[in-house]
Amino acid sequence: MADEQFNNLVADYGRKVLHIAYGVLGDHQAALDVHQEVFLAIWKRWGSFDSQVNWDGYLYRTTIRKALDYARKQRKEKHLDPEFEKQIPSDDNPQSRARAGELVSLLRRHIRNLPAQQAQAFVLARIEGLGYPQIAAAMGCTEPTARVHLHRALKQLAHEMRDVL
Amino acid sequence: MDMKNHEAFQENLAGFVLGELNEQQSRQIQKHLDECAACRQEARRMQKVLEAADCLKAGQVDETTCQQARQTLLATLQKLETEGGRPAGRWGSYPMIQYAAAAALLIGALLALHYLGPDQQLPETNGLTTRTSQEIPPAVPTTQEMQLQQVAQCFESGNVQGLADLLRSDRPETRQAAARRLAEIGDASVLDALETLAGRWEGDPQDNPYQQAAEAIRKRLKED
Repeated sequence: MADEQFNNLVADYGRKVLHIAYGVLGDHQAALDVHQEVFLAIWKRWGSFDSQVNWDGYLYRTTIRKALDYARKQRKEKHLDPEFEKQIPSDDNPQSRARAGELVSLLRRHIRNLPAQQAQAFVLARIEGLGYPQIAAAMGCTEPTARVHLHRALKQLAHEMRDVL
Repeated sequence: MDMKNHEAFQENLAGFVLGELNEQQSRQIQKHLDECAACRQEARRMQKVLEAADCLKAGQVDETTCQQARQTLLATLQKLETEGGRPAGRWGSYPMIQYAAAAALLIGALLALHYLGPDQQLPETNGLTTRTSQEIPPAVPTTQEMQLQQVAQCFESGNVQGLADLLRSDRPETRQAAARRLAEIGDASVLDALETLAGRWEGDPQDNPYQQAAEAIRKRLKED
């Protein structure tokens, strides 16, 4: 039964975990690695989870943390995943496309450098598209606190990227 | 410009760019932006950040990637289970229960030794009639399911080596399923392995799945 529950968890949340990891890291293989790390960590502690665990919140937090850790371990900026780069909305001008790609790559790097809670709030709001109630639930804080984290993250990112924006 | 108001506007700039302010607050901020170049530039930068972030959101994960991730995970878990890395279950953290389980296992082992004797070989069976210590139903049913899934995948992709590897599984159901699939493929390279397994079979000779698989392969080779 436990294995069935675990398999269901992977089936239900696998795409979400990949989506977040992909958004933070911009690399196909890295997203797969984080997916594996997240679910392996759960599997290893499977017996210790309460049956009422809030998987949404837990997986959001864990995935973002693992993705940020992964990026730090890499210690180098990876190139954009070519498949991902194709989806950057820009006109047909190659220069414009290249610049959009650079901006996205730079944004990722600065997101990773944000304080953990600001990074979480930003990723949940702008990659996952969650509203404040969901962000607050996922982060285990109040909505006003979640709002403050997001506002600070946006302000910090705009500041860090001031030379290229 | 009133510096105090300027700082207050700056505080609300992120909310303005994110569209969180009411109409009156937005009008006030907009009016300030018309007059303040620094805040105007700051708001423009925030807007650019949000536009770039939309590109992060646009990276959708397709079904193939999801399946790839799941298969990789399952393969890793299977490997960990094979290596004995399975974590303790809900009762695993209670020492008294662990001691009781260990004691029960010890008593079971002593009883098995008493009735089987030290020299008795544990027979290979069809897994349904005489169960041995190695043929006890798997503690983790999903491992069995995963192995059977692997058998099906190897068969679908014509992976003879993969099926041959699964003949070495410690689970009879997996070995027998792999043998049946190999019989359908009809590759001569697995005959030795099938014969070895057939020789260990101690169930009804009529039901020997490895012998049946080997015969089916030979028959097929003759036909070809």
